[in-house]
Amino acid sequence: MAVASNETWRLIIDTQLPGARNMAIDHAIMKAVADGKALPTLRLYGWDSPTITVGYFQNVEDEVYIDKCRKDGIDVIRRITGGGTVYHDNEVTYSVSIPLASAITYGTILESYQRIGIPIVHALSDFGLHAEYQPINDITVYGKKISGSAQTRKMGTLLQHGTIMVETNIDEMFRYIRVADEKNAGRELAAVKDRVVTMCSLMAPNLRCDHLYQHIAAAVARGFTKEFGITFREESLSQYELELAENYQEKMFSNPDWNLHRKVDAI
Amino acid sequence: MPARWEVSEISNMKKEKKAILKNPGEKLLRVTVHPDGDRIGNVQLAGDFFIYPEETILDIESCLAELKPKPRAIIEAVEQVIQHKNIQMVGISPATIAEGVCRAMEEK
Repeated sequence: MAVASNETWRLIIDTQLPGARNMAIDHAIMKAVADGKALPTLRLYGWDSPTITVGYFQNVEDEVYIDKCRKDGIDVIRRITGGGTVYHDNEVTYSVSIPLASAITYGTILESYQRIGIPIVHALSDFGLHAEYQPINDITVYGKKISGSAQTRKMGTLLQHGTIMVETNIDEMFRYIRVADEKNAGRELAAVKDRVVTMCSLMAPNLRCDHLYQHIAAAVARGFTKEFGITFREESLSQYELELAENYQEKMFSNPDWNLHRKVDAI
Repeated sequence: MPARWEVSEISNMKKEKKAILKNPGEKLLRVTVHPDGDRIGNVQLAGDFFIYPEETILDIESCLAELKPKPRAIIEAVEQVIQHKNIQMVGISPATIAEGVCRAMEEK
């Protein structure tokens, strides 16, 4: 155990929700933790349909085939965290909202990425997968990316959300996401696709992946307990958070001004 | 009545210059500049990097407007903003910003 925090956190295990709702809830939890109205929180969730999120600093037009997304009903949502473009589909997503005063956040930002990534490595090992943290914000198995994460720090609080690709359709992913030559050193698309991997593709061929969601969510929570000694209290969102989330969903994550142009009115 | 483009707007659109770079160990940086004469002018930095606090990217972009595209001057200006605004960067650096901006300015 690298950092013995022995804190009590809240655990929220959500269902598959629309993308704008998911991002709004993460933002609301972060605000509630910052306001001292919620315990440090680990939230696990899924997506009710394939959704793309782009990082805070990205230009949507550079990163996704926006017309194809619109035609096929793929929502494109801007995160409040930096980092890259993510195609969310058949994955488990986690978010961690904790005060910056927490023992887990000490040191550099890069160190905190690694520290929060280790419980995910533990969770994957519960499924027989030997995963490794790869700076800056990836977790790989056999050198292929299986999980990515992005972190923001505001209001004295850290929010990190990340994905675990369970049965993500990689071919579909690259129908909607643009690949910059500079990022992939001129590799062919097939080689780029080969750099990511899903849990189900690595596990027993006859495994029923549709039943894995709850098991992975539980494994992630166990990973935090194993690494930091966290005790979890499973709870739901408070009324305060639900109201915040409603507001963020309407004014930010369902708003093209935010999603396409990073513009937002005061909330 | 159809909207009319102002001459200055057309001129500015033509002047847009871009560069993309990915330095080892860093994230992808996309730079778009609208030069103002021999000055850098309007800059937009985009990519999958991290800057904390995120909103300070506007300070970084605006500190470059009056500068000529000289790497040393760009690095110093960005470092000043970093210090003044207590900014942390992950996956991007002042040197990479300078390289990207200079490359964009050199685009024909």
